[in-house]
Amino acid sequence: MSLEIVNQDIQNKQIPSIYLWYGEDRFSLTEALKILKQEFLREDPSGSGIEVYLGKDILPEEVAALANTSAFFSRRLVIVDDIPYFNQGKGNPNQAGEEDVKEEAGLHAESEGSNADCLISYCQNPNPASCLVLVSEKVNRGRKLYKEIVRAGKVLEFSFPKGQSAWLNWVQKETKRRGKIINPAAASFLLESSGHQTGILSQDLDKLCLFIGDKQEINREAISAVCIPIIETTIFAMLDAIAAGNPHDAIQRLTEVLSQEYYLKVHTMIVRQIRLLLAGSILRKRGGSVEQLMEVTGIRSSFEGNKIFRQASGFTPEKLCRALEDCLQTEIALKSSGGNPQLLLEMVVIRFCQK
Amino acid sequence: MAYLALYREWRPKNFRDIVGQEHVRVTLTNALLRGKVAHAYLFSGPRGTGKTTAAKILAKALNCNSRDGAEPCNECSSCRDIDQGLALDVLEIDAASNRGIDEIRDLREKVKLAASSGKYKVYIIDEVHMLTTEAFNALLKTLEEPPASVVFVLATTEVHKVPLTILSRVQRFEFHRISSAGITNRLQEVCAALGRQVEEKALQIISVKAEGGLRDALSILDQCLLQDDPIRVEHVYQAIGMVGETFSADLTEALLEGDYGLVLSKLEEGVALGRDPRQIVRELLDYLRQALLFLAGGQEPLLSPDVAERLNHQSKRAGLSKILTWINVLLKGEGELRYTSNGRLAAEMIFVQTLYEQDKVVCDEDQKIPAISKKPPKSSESKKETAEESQPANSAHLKKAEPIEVGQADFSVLLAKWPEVLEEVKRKKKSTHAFLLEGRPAGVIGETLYLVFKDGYSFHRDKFNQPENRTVVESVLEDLFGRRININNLTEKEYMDLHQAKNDTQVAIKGLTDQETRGITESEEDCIQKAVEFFGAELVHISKDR
Repeated sequence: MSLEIVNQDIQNKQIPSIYLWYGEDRFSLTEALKILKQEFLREDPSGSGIEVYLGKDILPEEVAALANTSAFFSRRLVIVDDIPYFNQGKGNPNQAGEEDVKEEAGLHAESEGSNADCLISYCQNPNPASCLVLVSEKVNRGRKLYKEIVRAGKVLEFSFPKGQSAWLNWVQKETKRRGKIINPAAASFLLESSGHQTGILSQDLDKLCLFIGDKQEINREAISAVCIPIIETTIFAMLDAIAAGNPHDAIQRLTEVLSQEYYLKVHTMIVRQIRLLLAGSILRKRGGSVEQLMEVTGIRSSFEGNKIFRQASGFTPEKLCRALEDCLQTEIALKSSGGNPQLLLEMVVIRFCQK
Repeated sequence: MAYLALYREWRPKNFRDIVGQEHVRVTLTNALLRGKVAHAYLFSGPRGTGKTTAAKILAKALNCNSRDGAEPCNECSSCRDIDQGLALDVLEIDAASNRGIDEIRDLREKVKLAASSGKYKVYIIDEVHMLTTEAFNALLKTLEEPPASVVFVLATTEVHKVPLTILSRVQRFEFHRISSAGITNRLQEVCAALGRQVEEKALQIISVKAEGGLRDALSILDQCLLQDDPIRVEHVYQAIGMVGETFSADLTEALLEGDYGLVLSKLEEGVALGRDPRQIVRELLDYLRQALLFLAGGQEPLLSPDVAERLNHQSKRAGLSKILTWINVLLKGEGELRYTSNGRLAAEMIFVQTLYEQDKVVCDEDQKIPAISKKPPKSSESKKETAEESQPANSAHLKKAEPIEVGQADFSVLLAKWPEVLEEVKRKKKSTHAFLLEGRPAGVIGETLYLVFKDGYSFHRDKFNQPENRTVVESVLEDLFGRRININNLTEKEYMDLHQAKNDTQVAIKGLTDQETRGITESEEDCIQKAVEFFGAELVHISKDR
């Protein structure tokens, strides 16, 4: 949506003096930046009016000064990515990224908060011949800077599509943009396989379009051949196979999961699944309901709750207790070099799937 | 010129030579043909599957002066330079040793400089998962929007260590393990080109042991080729430093026999050949894991074809619980083996314990029989009820064919007392009892009890035929019934054949009775009876050709 707004602004020649772009959908944001840059490059192909900085590398007063300086041949586009002005006082919300900001930026990172006033002053009287684009992952709507930008420019949030149908539309639109087509079933399969990440989906669509060559339609087979299923999909498939007592599938999925995930984490997931099944099994015995199960176990999705409740009917609490005990012994073995972790986990799965 | 390792000499130079990665080949060649090469790729997958090779071919194709479609010519100066590692525009960086932020900052600065001679600057960052978090973050922006003539190819075996932020900025390709057949074909190609004779079976073992990695396979072959032709299976085992799957299969056979002496002598045999007891245990564990996966998950064992067949047979014979028990004991033992000074003694203890645990499991399972039945026996009547309940369980297969009617009265008595027989046999010899559990009394003819074993349990039948087991049961039967009863063991199929021939039997017996009326002596009748037992009751007339 925000991408379309940027397009409209360009078409209507109403590019504001200040943009604040933020949100989780980095892919759309990057696309919007490309479109904006292209527009400025159209005005001045030399690109001399375009300046790109990282927020941690430049002081707010320098940003204001740059935006206030007019370009020779066209308007000036100043892009400041990853601005740290909204992070102050939050106590490092974004672990690694922020650590890196501090580590790399040194002095700048410490001083930017106090000097954001320069930008506030700039917002009160922005240069109409410049377009300042401030990019952030998150914003603080209570900040004065935010309010000033809302007043003087435009704030756009780049968020992921909401709901399955919005995602399907997105996939189909992106496929069409690449000159190919994809039917809803295949699009849904792609989403299931690659996950709900616009960046990854876009890369996968690029791959798929190249893989199918001259063919027009992206189908399920092509998706299976080229795309890499996300770990969550594989983990859910494994847990379902375990719960269904299907050792063949469970072992196959376990191998896939272990190639991407640390074995103790996989063990924890298996334990969680058995624990949920145990709760489901006991509740079933007592005449409980799915709602009770969700309340007791803290499951939020009714889909998952229903599934666990249904799967639990195939197990007795005694068997599940034995399985938990088995998991305990396996955990001890895993944490005390009691053998090859993969073999130990395979044994847990096989014993559990044994009728 | 210095010797070049096989895997380097035979490294693919074109996309079409890459084995087993069709999806990568098709996509990359199409990208090159359509001029839609991405600015950053991530090649992930197990070692030796062609990641770095594909990256180098891509680099050559991008910079080649006379490209043939999507394939590099391998002749021009650019291709040659890249092949020899001399190209200034193709930078291969080992992220394991250049993992810090300073190296990435340096890279970031140099990325901005144009290619010196080629069209593209290609950065191949191998083992990219080794970069520090800060280095990854520093690389992010460059990866997102590198200069137009720069292509990044990241390669890793552990993609889960690469942050999601990087994954969403690159085109990711997963390199699959190469199939055994694919590796074998390539090895045959190499051997033929080198003019060396290598047994096909040896090549198959190499391809299986390489676990989908062609580089590993070529390295093993390289070692094997140091031997004189023809290269055999033994050479392969020597090269990979393994006791050999055959030895593990033999050891499993000994475990299946349940014979302590045999297992220990097998171990001694291995040790006498200079094999490390720890390695023997480790390989046995690996072998049993394959059996476990085959039995439970239907996974084809990664073994040479003949050993795989043995494993299939053995795993069916052993059953899941037995294999799980063995692995449990061996796993614990393997842990202890690491700290022991006398590896041989420890290994002996482990094997004895494995067999002992197996016997214990058999006993436990036997004790569980009443619990499995629908009505749990009450304590006062347990013995009686157990007898009644185990009878239908034991006779479950009898429904397929009626018991032979001859000796019906004796047979009913025997059936009623069968649980007692089992109990007594168990008391006398547990291993015999274990074999006997798989059999069921099917009928009595004269003084002979017919015991039927399920198809696929011919091993139990054969074991039961051994005098040391057979005599135990016969003596128990003699004690309980006050007379000698011989035992004839059959598999279900043999029994069915016998049953189908029942009418013939009756006819034959009738014929015999007629003969008796014609004056056959008692000893002659015994002889005929024996012949019927051994060869069946079909009357065959043999006449000489004239």
